[in-house]
Amino acid sequence: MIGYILRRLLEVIPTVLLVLTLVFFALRIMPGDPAIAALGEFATPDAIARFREKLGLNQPLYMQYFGFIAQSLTADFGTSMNNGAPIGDLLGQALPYTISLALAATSIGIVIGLPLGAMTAVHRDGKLDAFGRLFALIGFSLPDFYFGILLLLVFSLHLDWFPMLGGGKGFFDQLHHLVLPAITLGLVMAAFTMRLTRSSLLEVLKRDYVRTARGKGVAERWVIFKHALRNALIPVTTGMGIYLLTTLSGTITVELVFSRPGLGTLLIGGVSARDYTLVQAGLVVFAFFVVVVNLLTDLLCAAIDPRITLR
Amino acid sequence: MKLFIHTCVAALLLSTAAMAESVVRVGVSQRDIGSMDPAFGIGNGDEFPMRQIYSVLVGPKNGTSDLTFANLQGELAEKWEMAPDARSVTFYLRKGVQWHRGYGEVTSDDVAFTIARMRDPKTGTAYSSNFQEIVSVETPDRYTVKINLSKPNPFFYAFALMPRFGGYIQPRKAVEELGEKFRQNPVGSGPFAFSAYESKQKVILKAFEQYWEGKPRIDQLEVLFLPETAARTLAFVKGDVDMIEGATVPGWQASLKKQKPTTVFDAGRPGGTWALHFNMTRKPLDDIRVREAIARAIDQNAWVAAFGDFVTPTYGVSPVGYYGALDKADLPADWPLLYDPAKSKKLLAEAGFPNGLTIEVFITEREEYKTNLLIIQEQLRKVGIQINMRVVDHTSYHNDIRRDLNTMVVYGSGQPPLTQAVLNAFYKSSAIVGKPTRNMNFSHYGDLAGNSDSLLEQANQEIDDTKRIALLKQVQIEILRQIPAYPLPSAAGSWMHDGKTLEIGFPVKAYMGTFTLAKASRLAP
Repeated sequence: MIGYILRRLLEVIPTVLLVLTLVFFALRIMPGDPAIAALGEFATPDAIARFREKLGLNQPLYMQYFGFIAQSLTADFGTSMNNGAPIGDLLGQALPYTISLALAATSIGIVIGLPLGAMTAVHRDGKLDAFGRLFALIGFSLPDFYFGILLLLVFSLHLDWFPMLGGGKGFFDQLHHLVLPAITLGLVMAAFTMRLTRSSLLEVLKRDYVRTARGKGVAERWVIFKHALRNALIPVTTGMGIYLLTTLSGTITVELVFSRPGLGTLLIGGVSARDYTLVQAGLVVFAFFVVVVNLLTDLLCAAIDPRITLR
Repeated sequence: MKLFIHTCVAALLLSTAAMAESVVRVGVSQRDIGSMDPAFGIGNGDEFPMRQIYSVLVGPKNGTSDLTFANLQGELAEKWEMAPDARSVTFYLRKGVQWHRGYGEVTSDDVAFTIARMRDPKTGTAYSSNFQEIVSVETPDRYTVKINLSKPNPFFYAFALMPRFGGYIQPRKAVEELGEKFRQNPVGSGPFAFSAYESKQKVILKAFEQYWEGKPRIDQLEVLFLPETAARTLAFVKGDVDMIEGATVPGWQASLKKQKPTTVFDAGRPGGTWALHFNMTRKPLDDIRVREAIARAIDQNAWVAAFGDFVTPTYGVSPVGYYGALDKADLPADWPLLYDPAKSKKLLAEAGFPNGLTIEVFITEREEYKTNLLIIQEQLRKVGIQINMRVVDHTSYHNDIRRDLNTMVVYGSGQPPLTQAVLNAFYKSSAIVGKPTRNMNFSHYGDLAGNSDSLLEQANQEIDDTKRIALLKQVQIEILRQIPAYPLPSAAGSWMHDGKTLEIGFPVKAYMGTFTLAKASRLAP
């Protein structure tokens, strides 16, 4: 197991290198000049030239690239091109907010989606199933930015139960600020988990070993939870791993709607200001998350089903 | 005994209220601070906090945009005088004005240092061209500064010394000591001192006890970055922020007023300079008949209908209210920019487009730009001109229009409210895109369809006020007869505050980044 984890972590290196290369060149292909974005409409060509020189943007592209790779390998992302703030500090401030949002949304997705999916499969075509399908339909149909604004209108503006802006300071205040953004993202995840669990469980319930268990007189609850659900969870876990990555991207919109700090807010600001160093660092962190989530998903699948071997 | 208890409780409540910090929160549409160093600050997000942190020598009167020399209001300077030949200006500084964080007294050396820093190409500021006419700065004593110019310029101060355009005086000691860190740790002499910055979230400023006009009544000022219009509006309606930057969306203000009747709309006038620039190197816009056909198809009343009295029609290159602007009464009878759709169709037919034509245009995603082009698109459709619009992000837009890639450029700019500033920026031949200047002459006027450089220079240097205004109007008429651009209606600076909780201290008729909140007070917790 430890050997497998180490091997997988080593695989991260070429993946991150590839991401670094793609990010570096994609940003430079994009139209727009960081110097104009930083200096504004009154910038003279002289000022623009000095800005480019100061940040090394006048160097040949291959030199900029190797400089960037060398810096990244030492985890030194430098300073923001736009405002000179150290990128390590900016990421350090933003990451806890994004991670807590993604985890809270995933927890909501699991807590609501899994039991609802299992119950709708067991009571197929019943009232509960109809409710579950309606829930999934609503969850998938509501765009997160719109749903977020609706939540803000009802629970923040009118009822004044939750704050409208920011990420909060201190544990309880942060938790208070987390509720609405987490529900916004978590509801879609719950709908996804519910649909996945339902279809996966329905598939498993048709299998021979389930019929055999029932024939042997095993209690129905035991059949479902011990035999069927455990096997149904493997595709659900894989699907949720993939969806967690989508949720990470989803934090970008939600952070904007709730004016919340985080990686998304940082990246959007960086892209619009053509802050190459900031966007590069942010995307590397995103790539790192993708690799880690994939690894955790594999480990979780192996834990659920011992027949899956980790090689 | 009962009376004693009541007195004690009342005293306790009063002292608690007195001790409670009064905090005012302001929501701006910018995503983050760029810089708090006056050499590099741009946009509202930077301008608003910078105006509170720094002081200028002289500025327009609180809440106004009046740049007339006689009407200026002193800040660091208590007295000032211009030489009769407009080749030098002398400022006499107030004594005892302090820098924040114990950096000592503001002296003439700081003023000389600021000018030298802003002029120096090595600094890399975007505002360096505003200081190029200065040939020398004399500091005969700690409180006197004489600025000498290379040629007469009675409005020199309006470009180099005003808020928003690099005119904030900076402390030599702090700039030299902090170096690169100065942009995120600014030291000024304004009513509020920098306290903290949270990336992409907010800047926190604290009242400066030693401010020369006395400590501000607000203890803490927070500038929040709220780029999403919906989030900014909801936060204002709920009362989480006391003042916000508005949105240029038809009906937005009416809807806000309905939701929050205590809203006070602070219309900053005169508004920004907006125009539709025709790239005269491109066909069919090289044909003056096509340009006139477009101009004749646009009715500025459409903007008034959409935005109400927040917009005003523009007749010359600069909005009404700018120094030297053209008014309706100044327009000749045969003015080619007057709305006349029948004539527009006739001109199109004469130019060889009896069935209309199609023009490809790209535009930024920003609301104010897109809204302007959408209104134009709808109007031109009625005379048979189809605008195919492609939306790009704002940074790409600024990049590509300066590479001369667009056919028609919608452009809005926050120039000093002087017509000569607009003429210099958009109609001088040296400003044509691709030339080594500010690159905002998108029409190529000066190289194509005429040249008004010498007349403009004459206006810039004219000392007599009446003659100068006459020259400025003459230049505009000469330029606009060739229709290198169609001036669009000017929208007032759209800010609003809650009249129930915040009192600014004077009527607001100027952009929010041009005056301080030194006299503002919080009316309720």
